[in-house]
Amino acid sequence: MAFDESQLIASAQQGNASAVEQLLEHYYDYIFSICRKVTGNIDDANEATQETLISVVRNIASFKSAAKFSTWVYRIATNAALDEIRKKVRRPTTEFNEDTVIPPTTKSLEDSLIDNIDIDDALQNLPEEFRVVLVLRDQLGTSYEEIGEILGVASGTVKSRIARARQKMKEELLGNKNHVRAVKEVNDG
Amino acid sequence: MDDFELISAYIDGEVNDEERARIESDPRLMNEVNQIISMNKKIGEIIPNDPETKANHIQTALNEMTVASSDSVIPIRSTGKSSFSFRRPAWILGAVAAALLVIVAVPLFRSTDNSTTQIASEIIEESDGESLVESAPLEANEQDRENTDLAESAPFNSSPNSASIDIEESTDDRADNDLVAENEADISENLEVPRSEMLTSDEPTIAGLQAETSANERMRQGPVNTYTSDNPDEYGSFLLQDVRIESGESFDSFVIELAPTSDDTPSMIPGPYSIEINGEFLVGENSYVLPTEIDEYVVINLAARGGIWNDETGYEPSWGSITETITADESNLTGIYFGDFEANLTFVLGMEPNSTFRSYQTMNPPRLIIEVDHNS
Repeated sequence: MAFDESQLIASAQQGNASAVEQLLEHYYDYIFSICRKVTGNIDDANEATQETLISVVRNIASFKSAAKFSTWVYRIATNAALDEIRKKVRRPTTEFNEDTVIPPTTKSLEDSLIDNIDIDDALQNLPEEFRVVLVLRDQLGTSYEEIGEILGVASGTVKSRIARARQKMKEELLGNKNHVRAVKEVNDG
Repeated sequence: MDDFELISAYIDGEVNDEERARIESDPRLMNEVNQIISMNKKIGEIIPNDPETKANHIQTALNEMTVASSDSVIPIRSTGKSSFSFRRPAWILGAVAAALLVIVAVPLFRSTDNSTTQIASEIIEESDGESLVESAPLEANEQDRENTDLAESAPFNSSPNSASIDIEESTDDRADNDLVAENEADISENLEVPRSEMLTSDEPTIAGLQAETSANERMRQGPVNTYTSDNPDEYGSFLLQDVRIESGESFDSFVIELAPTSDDTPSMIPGPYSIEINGEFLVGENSYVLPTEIDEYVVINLAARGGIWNDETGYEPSWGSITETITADESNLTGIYFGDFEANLTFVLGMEPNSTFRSYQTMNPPRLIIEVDHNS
């Protein structure tokens, strides 16, 4: 049966549990992925995912059809994930400084990706605001404008953040690559 | 725009023709583009959760099903008051059930200075702090029981303006009985349906009611409970868990939440009920008379008890009083009144004339919800 989102939303807003369930099923993996990548660990991701689903269920009646449902859901998920992070005492992360001098590297990014460098580790080393825009853009294909709506910032800011986030991510991956090789060399004696 | 920002915008299709041409004509920039696209694919991979956790998450969320977003949930049960419970043998419990006839009023949302309401609120204050049973005169209970027996032996009265319950079957009553039979047939069918699929808000015989109030219009005649057993583990023994108003942006939701006892059949959630515009409700010497300014109202009767069973022998009346008010100017609700007698709960929602409302039920948790639209 085709997934008719607008019909499901209308039914869900009337209290139809089956419609709500279908919507939750449809969006679950996206929600969990957002939470997993933003929080960086499975426990927080599960907490945030549950909070997101409950919030969707409780508030779906107030969802306005003028908005995009996915944007609304992702906003809830993003906020839930960020809330989860802020609840915990996190390990300190390096604040990204726009003036940081990036050392040149001769390693290719493809090498790092092919070597199965844990991209989640690299994501977690990004500042929060960079991590979120990358997940929303690269995982969900969310437009700059929608990301701006979700985060409450101008689309120009989103554009800039995404570029900076990608640049930083690339550096993190290359840095990880170097780190892995260094560890391997030590272990190999 | 620096090169990296340009590359990033190019990947996202956020460049103009000139910028696109500049990138595509530069092998160094295109190499960078391809590297970033590879990285983005990695970032974009969906991470699935394990199926069991996923199912648990979704089910937990469904259990939270409610109708409206609101920060102004007003529980009837007052959190500031201590509840009490008593445990008595089953024979006393029978007397308890027979004695329960409480018609009370809670503060009108926009008429909190109404004297009738204030008096009724006092009644509920007393009920909340003391045993409902002990505060009810025995004579009155017996009279009430007679009256209620009549009510229970006949379909819910179809004559809104009648001062007493007509036990002779009228044309309308026969139609009502047909509807009862129809609903019962639906219920039997539902027994074969998985619980998760039994939310039937779009089934006209059970839920999805749409109505516009007008004088003496009868919206629906449902199967009013006729079961009077005191055994909480028998059929029809749903218990009132909570009642509240949730004020949304465009409508208020009156939510009646029940708690099934362990042996309740899923088909009866939330149990038989009827909704009637300007209908009869609990006639008798101790019946409550609506304030004269309440012209339009909806009567909701459903099969449930106004208390919480702690266990098989304990019954805890759960009435409290609303101490907050809804201040939304556009609200069409003018008051809530409720009563409990044996296995029947009665709620009366006062509304502004020509208000529109809907009702439906949810399965898990078992709720009956009346949505009253705000003024447009």
